[in-house]
Amino acid sequence: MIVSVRELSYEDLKNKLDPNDKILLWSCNACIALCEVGGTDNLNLLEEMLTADGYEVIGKELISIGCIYSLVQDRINNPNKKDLFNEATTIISLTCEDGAEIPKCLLKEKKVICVAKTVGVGNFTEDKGMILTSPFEWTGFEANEEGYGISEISEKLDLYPSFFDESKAPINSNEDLIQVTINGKECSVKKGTTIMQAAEDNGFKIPRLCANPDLTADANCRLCLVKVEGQKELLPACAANVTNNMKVITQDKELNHIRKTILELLLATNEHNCLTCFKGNATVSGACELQGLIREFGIQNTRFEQNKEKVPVDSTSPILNYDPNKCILCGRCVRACREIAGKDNIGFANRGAQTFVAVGANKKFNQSACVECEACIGVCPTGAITEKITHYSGEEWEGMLVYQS
Amino acid sequence: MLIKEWADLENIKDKLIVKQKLNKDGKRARITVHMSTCGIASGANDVINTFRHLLKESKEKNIEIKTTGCIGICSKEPLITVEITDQEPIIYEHVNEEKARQIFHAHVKNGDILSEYAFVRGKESEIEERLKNGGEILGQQVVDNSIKAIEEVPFFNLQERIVVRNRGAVDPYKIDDYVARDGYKAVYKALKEMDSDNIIDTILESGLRGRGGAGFPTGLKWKFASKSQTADKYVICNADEGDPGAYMDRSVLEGDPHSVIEGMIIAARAINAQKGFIYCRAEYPLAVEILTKALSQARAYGLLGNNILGTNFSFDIEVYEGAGAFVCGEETALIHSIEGKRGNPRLKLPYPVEKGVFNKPTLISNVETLANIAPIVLNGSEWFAKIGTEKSKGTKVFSITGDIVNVGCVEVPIGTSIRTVIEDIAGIVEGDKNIKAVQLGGPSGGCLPVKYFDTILDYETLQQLGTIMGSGGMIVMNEDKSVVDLARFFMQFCESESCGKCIPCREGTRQMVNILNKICEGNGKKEDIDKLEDLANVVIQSSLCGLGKTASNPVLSTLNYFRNDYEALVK
Repeated sequence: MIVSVRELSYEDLKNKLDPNDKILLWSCNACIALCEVGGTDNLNLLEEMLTADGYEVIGKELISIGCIYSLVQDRINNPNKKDLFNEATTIISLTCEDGAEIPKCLLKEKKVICVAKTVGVGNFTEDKGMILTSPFEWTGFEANEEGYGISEISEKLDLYPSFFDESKAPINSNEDLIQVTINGKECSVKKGTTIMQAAEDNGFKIPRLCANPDLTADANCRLCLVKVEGQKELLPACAANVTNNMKVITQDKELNHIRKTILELLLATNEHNCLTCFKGNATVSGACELQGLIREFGIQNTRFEQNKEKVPVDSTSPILNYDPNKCILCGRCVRACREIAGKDNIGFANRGAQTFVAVGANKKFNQSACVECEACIGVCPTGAITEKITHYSGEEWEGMLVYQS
Repeated sequence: MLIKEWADLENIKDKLIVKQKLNKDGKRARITVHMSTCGIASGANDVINTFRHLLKESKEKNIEIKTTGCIGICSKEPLITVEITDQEPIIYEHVNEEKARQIFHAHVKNGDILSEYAFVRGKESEIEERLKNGGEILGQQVVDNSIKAIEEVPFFNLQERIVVRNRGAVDPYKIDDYVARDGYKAVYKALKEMDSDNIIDTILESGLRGRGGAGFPTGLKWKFASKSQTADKYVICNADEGDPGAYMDRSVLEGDPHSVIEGMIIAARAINAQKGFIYCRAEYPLAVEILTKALSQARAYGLLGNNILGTNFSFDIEVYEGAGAFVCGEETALIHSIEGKRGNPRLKLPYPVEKGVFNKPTLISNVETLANIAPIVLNGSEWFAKIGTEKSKGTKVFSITGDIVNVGCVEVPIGTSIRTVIEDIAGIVEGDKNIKAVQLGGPSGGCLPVKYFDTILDYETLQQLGTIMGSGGMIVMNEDKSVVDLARFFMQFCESESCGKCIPCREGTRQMVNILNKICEGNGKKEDIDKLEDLANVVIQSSLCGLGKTASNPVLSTLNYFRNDYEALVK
């Protein structure tokens, strides 16, 4: 992994901007997201800060891997995005330095500002976060298997250890805040937030399998349905926005019953061994969201008839395995491939209970247009799409982590 | 020729009436073959070919062969109407090649009516005139009294014709036929004498509600759609009729396409849309063919395209064929389908009137709703509001099938009782088993037992009883039929038509089919009924779109009214 650390202060960044700039925020979702400089949250934060300071941000674009030239080229030439890129005068690139070179090269007449400094190659660890193991020579660090943490690097090289200070993101005015009551608790939240986000910000986690902060909401898993006073029907928290004085209930007996039934229905499909997989499935490094929910809801059995029909696993891709038997059709990979990778290489085929996720024109991964950008791997909530490199290297603690949740 | 003035419409009408008038010296006889899908399926093609062949053989120049759509009573197809100068028209039922030959030689050539093959005398479009004149039309001689007059047949005289006003009277391939029945006068009125607000107010005051099933006030929908100031707007006619046992939209599209097109033009004028789509299911090839032809004829008359009727209003319509998915009748799935995407529904907010096709404000209306528009604009909202009940105005077309005599499409005022429709209009087979129940509203509707047959047909009343008006499918069952089997049939339908997007609908319907299979095959247990009921409720509460939200209705309504039938099947 490429290790990059923020080089520009917010003041530095503003000095590079002109009040008339039409700004496009650009970020990669790979190494830089783990270095805490890129990714959806940081794009959103920077947008808020700049907008509050009177700058015009015309769009945000997240790409799965910002250093694959063809992928970036596809995004810029995408008919739906063309106007956006044409209109932009300035690109703020939340990428490594390599990643900033591609927009510089493809959009020669635009101002491209790279926020981060790339310091070398490293690894991501659960406890220390990103560490630098093979530093560039100019940094003065020695190569070291233990690695150097971001704070150590930034201290020595006079860089910034975290993203722009969140507390500095000012709220425009009180008009942007609205009052909602969530499970009896009165909260002020920003206008335009989803119910899910508002609830989470106030300490209520709503279960979900299809929602993902990097992707547009699809509201298909129905686990996040909540009650809203005055609404006849339940609303999906991932897709419905809060409105002023809204009263929301995120959890009660009835909602729990619906959620349990949905999880039971999922358990009855395909081959989900959540109930027996006590150490965490080795292939998913204990990160199975479905299993997490099954345990959270204390489900020990399914009332429904199981469908045991097995389908072959597609292991033709050099980087991933696709096991349709573990797929819950949440569509995250479909949306990731469209929205983050811009490839539209993954889609649904057939309908009803026969629906399945198909790659390319219903081909194998290696026969499709897959560019191995890993966008789908990162978002898959079960063991359906897994990274080959992690196979059979799961560790016991990871299973424990799932159990504790 | 471009139509620009009222007089142009009147001219077409006058010319056609003269042309259609039979007389001894010119055209002395006319054979009309009813050529909708129902007729063709029963052999109307053979019948018309026989007539054409006989006519060619006989070398007679003064006999005309004409086609029209279905007259509603599909179980009597193939139907033909024979008209002879100065005589009452005779409608023959169940015509085949042999009967056609006999009718041609006896009736058409020699004037001898074959009363044994006859169904009724008189035309449906002339019923009102006949009633006014004591059962006859001036200038038409009654030749055979033994044949029932059309106004005496309950199937016809209990109906109120607004949507199907032109059935049997116009040739769907000829726009002049429609104009001669005062067609496109409403467009003239809407474009030249009314502004957008006038039109919307008229529809609002008429009390017309969406005939697709939910019954949302049409005028209100138009008002919302008109509010948005965006340049591009769309009007869509939802002709993706797919409920098993429902075919009233097809009958309208095949019999009278211009009534829908006229409604769309007025809707477009009201909300200021420039482009329209008729989203027609591909399983209706005849409707697609007829619509396409009708659109090109309307374009040739300047009723579609740029500067309609010489005004500065421009609007055009395109027929868009679905690809066979039932769920595409759901508004948001339909929108995705037109955009070229997979026909999956989405969360209905924002509503299509704000963000529809290509994210532009889009007004989506059902075929039947649109066919109501022109008469309302022409006759005024008061006229329309007099028909129906307090909350539900106008009429509703039902397609009625099952254990009854007259299978077909009937249009009755809203507020008519179920009993009137089933027993009087459709008719129960004499000596047959007792009627047990009726399924209303297709797979989204519910099953009502016979004790509720005095219930009136309107949106609210039916909803209270656990069923819906829906698009208007009505399936009548006698005591031989199992309601559990019916519930299973509709559940299998929903399972195979679910788009597969949301879990409750995709997996829930599959599991309900599993349980119902078990029960129907005699392997069910008592707990299975409770499990079925529980799952049915979860699927209703948690599904994403209308398909899933209503998929359980047949199960829940049969469980509600016929729980004994389920219990009798389980151990």
